[in-house]
Amino acid sequence: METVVKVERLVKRYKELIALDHLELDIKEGEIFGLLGPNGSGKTTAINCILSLLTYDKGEISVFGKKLCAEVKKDIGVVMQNVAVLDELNVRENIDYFCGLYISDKALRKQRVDEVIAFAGLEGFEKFRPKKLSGGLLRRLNIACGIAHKPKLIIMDEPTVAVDPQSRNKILEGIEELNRQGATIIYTSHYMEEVEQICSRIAIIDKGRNIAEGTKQELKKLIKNTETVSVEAAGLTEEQLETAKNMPHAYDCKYDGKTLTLLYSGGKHNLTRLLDYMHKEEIPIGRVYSLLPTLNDVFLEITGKELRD
Amino acid sequence: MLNRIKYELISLLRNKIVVFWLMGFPVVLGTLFFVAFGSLADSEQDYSDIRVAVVKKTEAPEGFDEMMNALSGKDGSVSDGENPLFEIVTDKEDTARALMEKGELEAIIYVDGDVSLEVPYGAGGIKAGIVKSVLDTFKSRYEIISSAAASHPEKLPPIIKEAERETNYIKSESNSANFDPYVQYFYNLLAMSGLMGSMMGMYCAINHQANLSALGARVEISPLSKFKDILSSLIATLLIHNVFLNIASVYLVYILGIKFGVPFTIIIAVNFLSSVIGDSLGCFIGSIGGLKDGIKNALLLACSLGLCFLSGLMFGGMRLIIEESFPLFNRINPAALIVDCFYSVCVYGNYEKLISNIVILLIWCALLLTGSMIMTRKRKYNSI
Repeated sequence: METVVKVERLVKRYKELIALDHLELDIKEGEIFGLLGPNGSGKTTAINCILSLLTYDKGEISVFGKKLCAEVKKDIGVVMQNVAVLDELNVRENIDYFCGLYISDKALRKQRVDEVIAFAGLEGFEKFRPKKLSGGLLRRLNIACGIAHKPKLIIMDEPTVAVDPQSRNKILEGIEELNRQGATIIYTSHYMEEVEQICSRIAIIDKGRNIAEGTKQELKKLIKNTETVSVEAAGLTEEQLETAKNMPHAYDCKYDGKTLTLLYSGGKHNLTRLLDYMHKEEIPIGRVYSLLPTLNDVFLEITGKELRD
Repeated sequence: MLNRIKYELISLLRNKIVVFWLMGFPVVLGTLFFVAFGSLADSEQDYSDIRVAVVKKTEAPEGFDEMMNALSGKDGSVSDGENPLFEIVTDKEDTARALMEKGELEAIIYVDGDVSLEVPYGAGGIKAGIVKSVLDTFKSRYEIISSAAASHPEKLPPIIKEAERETNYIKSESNSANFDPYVQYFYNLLAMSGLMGSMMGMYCAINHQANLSALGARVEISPLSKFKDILSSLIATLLIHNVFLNIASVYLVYILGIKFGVPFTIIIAVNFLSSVIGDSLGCFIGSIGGLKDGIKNALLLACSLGLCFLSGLMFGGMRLIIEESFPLFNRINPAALIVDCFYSVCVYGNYEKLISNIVILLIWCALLLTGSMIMTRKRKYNSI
């Protein structure tokens, strides 16, 4: 696959603060590439450097194999973190306005505006001004304005911030659809669930460095934890706890007097084995959970802190 | 670019704040001025038939009688339907003084070797000023012609011709002139509306700078050139601003009947200039990075109203006070210059003054726009 965006040894400083510290990215055609990291990790700074809005101290950036120029910009669509639309224009006019920055042919523009209105589910709201739209619809308008010209590369900087779950799902489905239609997508977020759901490859960024990169399966293989089992069980004895701790593949055990949590590294049937033991010991149990590792676990294990700290 | 201009126009037309401040406010304030100052189209504005007495104690200088006959219409030079500038009420000193005491006479002109003037105590009105101006002009011409006749008689014909031309010019201009002291409030009102447009100019800058707004960032990452981007926005802003200013002017001139004393084409031209200076000022302030929008707005409001206050919007005598204490400020204050554009044509019929004011305003525009361009020329920022 061809490289669409290549970032090499990118360094960006704000006086004493190093916002990007030799950041490396290699985004391939057809990917939904996730940039995951906590607030302030450098995601938006990286995007702004790629878009040539920010100067940087060191490094190289190329998009479609070239330095960013007007010709390259025609193939890029951007959905900014902050909604950027004109309050006095209605939905259709806003989309036409932004589409007009890329396409001068009136007939083609009309066709693209109609398509994107349908795609973003904004039919029936064409005459609405932004202030009359709900938060979710406003975000969808923001996205529609960014992608109406059918770009090959779409950069989305936290497009679902402050959006209700229903609208969020609609937006994520839309992003996957855009990808199916052939667009390469860079998606930044601090919502690991979203990134896990839609991204084919993910870079985890912290303090301006990409600390891990790969598919979600590859990332999860980087850490020790493969499964977390929790069982509600009151009044376990020291002996029972010791046995649980020594279950095959378990490497950590926590008990707060109500819930036993065991962390496993590898192995199969870990939950069944634990439940069999409790049944044999006639320990009364409540709710049972078996959780697979998340990207938050990956981040936690690599950096020692939560993604949303 | 046309698409952008179209949407910028729609956007501005739908912006209630812009419409109010640029069209509604001058209309409302103009109406309030009109009500407060009373009907300005009545006798206060009639500066013909100024009642004077001519008391001759000696023979009048050559040409004086001819001039007075012409200005009072006694020589038949005033056509039907027009009123002469002067009405010579009497030539008796006692009668003249009695009339002046009753307030029925504007001035007594004495011919006693020299030509002198007496006006009622405390008079500083326009009518007395007109009489004085006429006499000063006569004396000055008389001296020039007498001196030329004595030393260079051959130069007399062209000097007389020039004096006649100037006199006719002043006469014709004075017919349409409005010497009403209140009209300057309406000049100021238009100047304020021009400078108030700086708010639009400010958003013109803010909305096209990635470091100032999200909208600016979105536009900057498009392939559109920055020059085209700002130019289209400025064109739309100027167009709307001018339409609003001219609508307000039409309201003042044709609906309220305010006599600006200048041709409407001059009002349109000065409106255009004041919109350019207003938008340039807004563009300049808007381009300053590191200031919040609210602060910029407050700064522009303070600038617009402050400059208009100093040019006499709230107190008519302010320009005179400035003229006495710091005259240079009146030469550079954009609001005062805009007012002066109207004033110079209306009162003096002087297009040279108008042109010099226009030149200074254009220099202001060039400075402000250059400053804005320097601040906004970047497409990459150290931080946004």
